[in-house]
Amino acid sequence: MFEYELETNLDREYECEFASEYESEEFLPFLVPLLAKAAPMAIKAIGGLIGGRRRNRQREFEFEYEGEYESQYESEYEGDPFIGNLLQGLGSAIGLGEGEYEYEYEFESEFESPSSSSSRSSSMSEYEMIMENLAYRAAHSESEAESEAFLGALVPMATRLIPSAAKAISAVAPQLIQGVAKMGRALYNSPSTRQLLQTVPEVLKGTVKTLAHQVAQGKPLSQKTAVRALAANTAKVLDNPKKVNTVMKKSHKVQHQLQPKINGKCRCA
Amino acid sequence: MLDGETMQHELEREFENEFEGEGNYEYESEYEGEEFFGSLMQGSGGVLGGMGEGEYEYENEYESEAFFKKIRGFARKLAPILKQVAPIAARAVGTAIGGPGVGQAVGAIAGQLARESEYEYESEYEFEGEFESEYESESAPQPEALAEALAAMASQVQSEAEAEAYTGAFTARIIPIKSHSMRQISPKLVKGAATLTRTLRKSPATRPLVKTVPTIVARASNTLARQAAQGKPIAPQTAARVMAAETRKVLGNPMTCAKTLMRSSGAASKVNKPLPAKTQKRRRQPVYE
Repeated sequence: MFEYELETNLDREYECEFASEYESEEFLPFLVPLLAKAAPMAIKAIGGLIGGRRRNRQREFEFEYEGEYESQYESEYEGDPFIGNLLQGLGSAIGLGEGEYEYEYEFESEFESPSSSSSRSSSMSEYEMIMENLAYRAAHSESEAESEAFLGALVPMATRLIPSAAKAISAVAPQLIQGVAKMGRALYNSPSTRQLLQTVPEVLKGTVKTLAHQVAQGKPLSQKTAVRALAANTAKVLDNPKKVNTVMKKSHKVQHQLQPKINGKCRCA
Repeated sequence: MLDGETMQHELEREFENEFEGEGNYEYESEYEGEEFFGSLMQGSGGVLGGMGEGEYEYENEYESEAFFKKIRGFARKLAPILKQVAPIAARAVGTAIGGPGVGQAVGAIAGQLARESEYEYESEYEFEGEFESEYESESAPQPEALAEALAAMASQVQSEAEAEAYTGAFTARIIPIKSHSMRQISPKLVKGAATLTRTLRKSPATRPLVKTVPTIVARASNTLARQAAQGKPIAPQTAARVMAAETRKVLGNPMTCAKTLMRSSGAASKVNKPLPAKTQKRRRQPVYE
């Protein structure tokens, strides 16, 4: 078993409160089936915001009964065609390296710029660090409602990362908040997927960049555009186990930067 | 843009509907004063003049005495509810941020002040415009319109989780991240605001008060940011006391609360786009054979 799972006094020197098995290379094979379940769940939850009229009633029904009827609709999705295409494309990145993954959606090819694809800068802005901390708290909060509060706080933080487009993106902030809330609820429900909430900052950063690119091109931002961008970036992160692994490692490092005093040693990468 | 009279009518309607309903509320036992939710519906008028704190933040059209009288009337209706909810809310916020010890301490203070405030309001009623606290000596921080709009959504949505998501969002918008101390304490403030929203949403009678949370957060953030700018570290207990104090100041003073709600509604209405006018469709005339 992995050392992170041992909670005996003998292993105290290796305990780290911020560590997660998801950042372990050995855990990757176990991460694949988990993401195969989590990614479509999260994307469908987001897609429910822009489903068709009939699906909206069904989604409301679903929402009202807290997912009691969700299993019936799991295999069939007849909502937004963009979301449908995303769901069909899931699984193509599993096993592939980063950069080999492509979605068939209008934003991706226009967005990919040389600087963004190769940027692995270790320096993070203050807002990014706070986002990582908020996402960590969301993943480890006592209740779903509290988790949602932390997730909701991520949206304005992400908006501030690109000041030039902040005003335009703020106009669709309520839809992004709803989308993040729905995704958060879907991932929080299961203890095995709860830790994936730590990937939400990465999802939101990508979403904001996508929307900023749209703004820079002079295209108007609509509610549907924002939700689709969020869904696409969710797929981009959650459908890629190596990306999840990298994001979790980064989150772990940031927690230590924000809270340098720890009780024991940490096996940091 | 809504004028003062329209805003006041809308807010009164929002609270009147809650007042007239039957009070079958389900509450968690951790919140003391379960009995107070029942007593909310008893319609105790409460003598409350409600002298505010000397803030005149409105445009010229709002500064008329008639408008001020309307606010006072609105404050009078809020008073019975606020008298009981303010200590509970302050205690909940204090506990969420600083722990049970801080929560109990601030709750006791808030309760004592709430009991004393009846007399305070009656005496200050005559001294309009003269009372100012140290926090109101400068212009009080006002949340931006989008934050107010998100708070309005948080007060209206059915889902608790969604309401807290909006709360987290407007709190993050309001908190100034200008120092390491504020960065450290911001998650605590998010948690405090979420707890406050959850407390106020427990009862339909107090749900509209969620719109005051941005102002409470803005005031608390302003105070903490000033402290951080002086190089003083901000402990969670300090943040808890400050936020609980601002909660008490806003919710414990009916005039302040009334003005906050009216300003919030006005700001939120600027953000919300008006619904498209319904086009009158001609109905086909029935054909009778």
